[in-house]
Amino acid sequence: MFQAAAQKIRIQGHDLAYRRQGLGSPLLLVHGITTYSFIWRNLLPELARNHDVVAVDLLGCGDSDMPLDQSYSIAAHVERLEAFTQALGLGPFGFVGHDIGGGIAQRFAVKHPDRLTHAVVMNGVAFDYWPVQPIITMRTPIIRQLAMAALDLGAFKLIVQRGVFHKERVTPELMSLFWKPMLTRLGRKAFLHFAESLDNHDLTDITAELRQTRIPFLILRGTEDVYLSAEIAHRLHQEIPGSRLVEIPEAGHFFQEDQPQRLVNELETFLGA
Amino acid sequence: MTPDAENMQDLQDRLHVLEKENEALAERAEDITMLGLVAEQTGIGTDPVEMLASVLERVCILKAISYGACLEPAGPHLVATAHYHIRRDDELAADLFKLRDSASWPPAEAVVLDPADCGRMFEQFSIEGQAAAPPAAAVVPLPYTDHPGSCLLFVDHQRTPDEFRVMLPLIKRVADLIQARLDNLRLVARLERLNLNLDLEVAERIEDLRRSEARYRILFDHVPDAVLLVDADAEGSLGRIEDANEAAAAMYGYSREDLERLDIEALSAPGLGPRLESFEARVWRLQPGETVHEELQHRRKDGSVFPVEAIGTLVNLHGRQYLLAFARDITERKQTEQAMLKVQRTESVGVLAGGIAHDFNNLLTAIMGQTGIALELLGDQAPGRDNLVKAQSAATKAATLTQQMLAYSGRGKFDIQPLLLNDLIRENLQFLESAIPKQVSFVQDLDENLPPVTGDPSQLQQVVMNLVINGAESIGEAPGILSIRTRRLQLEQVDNREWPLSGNTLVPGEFVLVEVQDTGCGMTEEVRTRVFDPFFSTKPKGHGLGLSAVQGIIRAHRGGLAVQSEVGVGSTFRILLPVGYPESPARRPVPRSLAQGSRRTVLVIDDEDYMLEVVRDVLESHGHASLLALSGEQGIEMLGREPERIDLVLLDLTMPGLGGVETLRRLRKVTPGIPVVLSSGFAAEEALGQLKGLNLDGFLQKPYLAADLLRMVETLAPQVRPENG
Repeated sequence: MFQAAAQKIRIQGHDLAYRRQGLGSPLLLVHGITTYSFIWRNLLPELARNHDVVAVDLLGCGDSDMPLDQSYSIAAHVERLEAFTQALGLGPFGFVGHDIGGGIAQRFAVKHPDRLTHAVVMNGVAFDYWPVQPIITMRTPIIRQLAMAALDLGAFKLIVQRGVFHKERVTPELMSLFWKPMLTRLGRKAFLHFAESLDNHDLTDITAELRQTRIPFLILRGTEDVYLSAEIAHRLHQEIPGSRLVEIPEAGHFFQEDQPQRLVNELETFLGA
Repeated sequence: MTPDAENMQDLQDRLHVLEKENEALAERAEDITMLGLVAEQTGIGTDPVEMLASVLERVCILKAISYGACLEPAGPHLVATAHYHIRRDDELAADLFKLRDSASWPPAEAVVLDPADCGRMFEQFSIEGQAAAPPAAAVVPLPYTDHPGSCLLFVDHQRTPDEFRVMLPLIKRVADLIQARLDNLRLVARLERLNLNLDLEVAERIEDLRRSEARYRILFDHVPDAVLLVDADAEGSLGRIEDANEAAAAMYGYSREDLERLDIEALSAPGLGPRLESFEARVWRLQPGETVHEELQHRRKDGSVFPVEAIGTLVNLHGRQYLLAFARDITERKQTEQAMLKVQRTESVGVLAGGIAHDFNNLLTAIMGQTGIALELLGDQAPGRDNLVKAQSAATKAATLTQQMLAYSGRGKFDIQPLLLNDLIRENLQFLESAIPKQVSFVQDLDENLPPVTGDPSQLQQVVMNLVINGAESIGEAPGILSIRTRRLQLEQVDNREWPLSGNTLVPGEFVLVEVQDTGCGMTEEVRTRVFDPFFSTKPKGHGLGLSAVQGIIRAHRGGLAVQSEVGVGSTFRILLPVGYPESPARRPVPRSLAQGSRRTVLVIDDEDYMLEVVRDVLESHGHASLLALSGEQGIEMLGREPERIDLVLLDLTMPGLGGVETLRRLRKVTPGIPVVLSSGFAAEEALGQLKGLNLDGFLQKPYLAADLLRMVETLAPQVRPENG
């Protein structure tokens, strides 16, 4: 599935897993909730032609460690990824974030502006559109759905199917990639801990800073994404000066599955600009 | 508010109600889903701890409860046998629950605890190091069979007791599912344990059986007797052979497979004689533990019949009744038995003949003695003298017959010495040839390297004579060939069945073979088997003692005897004599030379008074004196009384009471130098052997002539006895 083998590096006392491939300007691919680096598998070889591509598993996801006493909040991920990219020796790099990863990209851009050359938010969370207050996390419908998904492959498949436009692409093989972390009790706990750790203050706090950023932003949206509304992408485009908005039809929330080539093209266009 | 606004407010209220209802429905649907997931977990798990942890996880995740555990009492503490903490790796649990003394555990029913309740029940309540009582907790009894004190505990720091109360029925349902599953698992585990034990036991039993079967199969197959297992379930007839061993297959000449398809009847042959009850009928009357033991005739596959010793018993096997039969081929034993019978008969006839001959000898001695005295008294021309001479001649012929009877009995006179049979044959050639008719060619084929045998020359001469005359007579008037053959034989092994007639058991070694063959009329099987019987004769004038004597002599010589014959072809008699030199018999002392005509006094000891009388008459008619004793004891006493007077003792060997040998020994004690002459109708080798070293001075074979007695007395009795005689 992946051309690049998984590697691990110890960051702040825990191992982070990642895949690295290609030569060129560095590019960091960051996934969101319910996925891990596998979501980039159809894009990574293409991007690796012109870039030194690193696809990371966030702490608590994929093959990375799953400590339950560490925060998986966006702010915590930002600091961890800064340490991670430093440890890998990456120079200023392009940050591509999907879903929660898109939120991390925004916060990374305002917290470590000199580390980024570009920022891409793909079907990303932003502002307070992430309807989560920590105190009631587990009782919000979306989290309850995720909780059910952690326990039941059928429920998980519903989530994935709703997130993919081309339903026929939700094969058992794809599901087994999504489901893999749910096979262990620790994986399930980490998954729920991830969901619970999300605090929209991490994004509402940086709204003002975001308006000031000089980093080029690309905002990509799958028009069929049922999880995150068009309003988020449109407002991001409005708030971030000079940002570019591309809306891709026939693409759901997991649009790496729906339109991988289109995404590669958009990214190359944006990064090459 | 405007009507529109009122209307809007109303709509919003209704929407709110609908949302609430929707939410309740969604929650209800989620609860049902959760119960489904819990049921799924309880259905697949076999490890109770893992199953509990999975169920706790599902309840905690889906009901957003941060902690769940299954608690069991252990002294004053409660131990979490399984637990789930949403924020903690399972391996790191170190929670503490200690009951207050006043608290009763488990609670009678599911309860929700507020912090105050919690404080009343627990002395210590610490999860993840947080010692403060939680705002709400639920305790639900889980009294499954093996752990009646078990309870489920759920704790959440963001829930109120009321919120927990709403969930309580759901948690109780979960507890019911767990409880049923745990009881089920316990039963399954017990069943599995029992199954395992049973499997082990069965495996062990099978192994035992296998070993046992192998052991019995070895026994079964290696028993030298035929073993047959015959279906005998239906009364009235014995049926199919169910099992047979290798020995049975070999004995009856069938393969085992064929044998196991046969009916037992196929092996039976008609018995030798009428029987009161058949073997089968006797088997049917058997009581448990009894056996039938019988000799039967059985038939081989090739039709030949042979005798078996059969032992039968009824056995029960797998609920069916079987005849278990052992059969032993007793052909050889039967042959040996018959040979033994024959030997025994020969021996008993021999004893009889010997006894008769002994008495006859005494009587003949008396007749011959008295006749001799009468002849001496009568003048040459006296009337009746001729008759007395004829009487004496007849008595002498009678004596010859008794000699043959004694020879048959093996108790004839023996004079054992090394001798060459060729010489013996040649010495008697003239006599032999005179006994053979002119038209019969007499062929001698004598092995010149013949070693000497040990024997009595006159007895062996009698053997050769008898066989040659027999052969000649069987040829009769027609021309024919009679041959006598000697051979030296070195036998590495002897098949004694080939030499059945002497009754001796030959041991391997060197032998001399004497074969007398004729081309005469031959013998039928019936005649052949009886030809050695005493008094059996096919000749009009035969006494039936000739071949009996041959048999007796060869038996006494430790030899072998065989005969082959075919009617119209002829007969061959074969004698086997062991080569060897016996110990030399007691050397006879050199007779003391005494002048004849002196008067002697003879002590005569014999248990027969007519013998005493004839000896006295003979001695007195020739001027000698006699002292007569009817027993050994009397004779010893008389010698003791008048030792000087007695010149010689004539002692009978065979007497009741003190026998001849013992009497001789005692006589010698009384008067050590006294000459003793022994007389006997039979002087067996053993008797002579016993007398060895006792310085026997002479031996008179009964019946003896008066002249023999007088010669013995006159040559042996000292004229002048030694001083301390």
